Amino acid sequence: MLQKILLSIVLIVLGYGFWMSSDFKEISAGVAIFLFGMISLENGFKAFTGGTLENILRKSTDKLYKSIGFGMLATTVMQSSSLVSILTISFLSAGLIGLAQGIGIVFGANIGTTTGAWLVAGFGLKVHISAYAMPMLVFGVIFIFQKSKSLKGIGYILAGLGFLFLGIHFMKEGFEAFKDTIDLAAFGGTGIKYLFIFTGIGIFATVVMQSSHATLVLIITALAAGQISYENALALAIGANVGTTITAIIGAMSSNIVGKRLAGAHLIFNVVTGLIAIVFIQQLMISVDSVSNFVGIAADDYTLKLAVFHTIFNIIGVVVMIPFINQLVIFLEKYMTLKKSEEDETTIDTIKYLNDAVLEIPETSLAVIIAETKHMYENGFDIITQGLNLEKSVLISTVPIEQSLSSDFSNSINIDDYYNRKIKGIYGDIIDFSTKVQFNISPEYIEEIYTIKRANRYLVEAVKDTKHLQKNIIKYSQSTNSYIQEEYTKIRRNLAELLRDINTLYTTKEDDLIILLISKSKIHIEKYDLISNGILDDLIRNALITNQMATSLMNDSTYAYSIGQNLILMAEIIFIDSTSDLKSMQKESIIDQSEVEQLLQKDSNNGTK
Amino acid sequence: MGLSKLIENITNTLSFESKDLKKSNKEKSFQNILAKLKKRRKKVLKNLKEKPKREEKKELEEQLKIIKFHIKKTEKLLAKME
Repeated sequence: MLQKILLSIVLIVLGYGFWMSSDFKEISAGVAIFLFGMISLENGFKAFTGGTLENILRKSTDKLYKSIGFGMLATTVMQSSSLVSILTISFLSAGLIGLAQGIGIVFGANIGTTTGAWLVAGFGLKVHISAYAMPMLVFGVIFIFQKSKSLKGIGYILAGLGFLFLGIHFMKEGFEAFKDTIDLAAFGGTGIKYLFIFTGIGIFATVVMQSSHATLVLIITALAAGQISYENALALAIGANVGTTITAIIGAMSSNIVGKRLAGAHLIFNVVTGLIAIVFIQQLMISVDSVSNFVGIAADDYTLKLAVFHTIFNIIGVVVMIPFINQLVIFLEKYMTLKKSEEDETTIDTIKYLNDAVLEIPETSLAVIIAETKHMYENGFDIITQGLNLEKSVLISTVPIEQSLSSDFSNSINIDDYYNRKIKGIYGDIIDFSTKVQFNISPEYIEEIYTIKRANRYLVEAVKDTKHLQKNIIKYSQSTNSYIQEEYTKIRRNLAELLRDINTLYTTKEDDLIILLISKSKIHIEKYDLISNGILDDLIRNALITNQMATSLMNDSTYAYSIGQNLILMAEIIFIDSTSDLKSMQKESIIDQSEVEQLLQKDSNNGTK
Repeated sequence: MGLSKLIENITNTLSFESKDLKKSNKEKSFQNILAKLKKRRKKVLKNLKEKPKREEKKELEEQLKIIKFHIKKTEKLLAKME
């Protein structure tokens, strides 16, 4: 309710603002375009998760010095620490890197951004990133329309960058009117009071102009014109460094919690660095004089000395903060938290048991592969359950299965995203590890490894089938045609029952219960297969559903059947304890397809009698 | 008897013994499972006697049918082994 009221107020204020001021309209449009660019950028990076980009980023940021170097280099090339921070937030949100790595990049970006001060002070150069916006948008859109997933991803990244640049451009244009009103000479003075005043002005100017480079140009111009003293200029530079975090904060607004944490880290870093610089301003000035003297900068060349100052205080900030990175991560994770469901939507799961140290011990290798497969099964179970909108807590209890069928489809998960974060990496590592194990073990174990690999594939197939099924489940479970709605509810109910049995198979060690549940599940999926049990024919013959519905139902029934079959096959391989009585006689004891049909036949004979 | 003949005899004996051991282990496993299945059948029958609700009754009957099928199957397999 409060959110609705707040939204209404925001809309009214925006409407009034647009009516009153064209500059305000331009600034707001800039923010909106900027945020849209962020969303597009994230989508683009997501297209590359689990692939090449992840590997490149992982390798470039796996050590702190590498992530700092990466941030420095990227910022030097792009000449915008804000943009690098925004890109890092996108990497984080897409799950490509971790928070500690992100912080490393941001630290590096802070050093990289000082190259801008050198360029501005030394050569008067400024790279205008907004000039690239239009071509990026055009190329981006062309790529978005391509069929290839990679090209689409590149398209979204280009369009995202284009919109970011364009958004910053509009914001700057909108603020142009304010720029002329800033007369720095009016605030001139020395002492601690003026140090804080000029730091504040630096923050304000950078927030307004969305660029610390622009503020630096302003500072250098004012310094050259004698509007401000050298000390005031240093305070302005400190303020510019703090103010530049606003871009990352705006960017983080549309990102998930990890992105917000990074923006928090960026703000903390720049504020702490700024405070250090303010407290030790006299010492810093002496250091600047010494360094300037050492590299041959003239004593009265204040613009270059400003660049030296900018570099020194950012390097000091990084050096001071490096030992506290872990504490910073812990602090941010503790105070910037989210609900369990949101947490689930952002974390990437990795292997728990695989370890190269056991490669040469066949039994242990097999045991860890099975343990890892069970770990992947837990993730797969969660994805399938959520994908079908089933309540997991009900499935793993003895509460009537009907209660597991949630009717709220508004928060349906993105299975592709979950698959990338919770299955793909683990699956890849299991296959990789199993292949390595095969080279170290005797032939008797090799067959077993193949079987386990097959079990992994069954599980992955079950998750993928759920993805295909999900779309129509959401669509038809809310249909006004009660017949189709009922059939999709039946599909969900039957799969819920199957998932409950599979979960019991996972937790039990009782041989007889395993035999019973595997048989029950196999009979179950055959019995409720819509295509073979004739229900679908009845619905079509009596024109109770449209042709399109019939086709969907037929395909989805196949998917549901396949999910069941794959889960049972996986359970048969993974869930029977290798030391149990059942394992040694599994082939003979577990029911086979002909026996299932035999039992079903008996059933139907009894039914007709 | 030559040394090679002696080794062959020992290997054959051990191989027979190993096969026998495997067979008896498997037989034991079957018997264990059979006992567990019978115990479960008893439990299901007991639950059925307690007049369960319609849905639960249907479920128990289905279980009973499967258990009976497996008991029969395991008994047959054991008979074959003997």
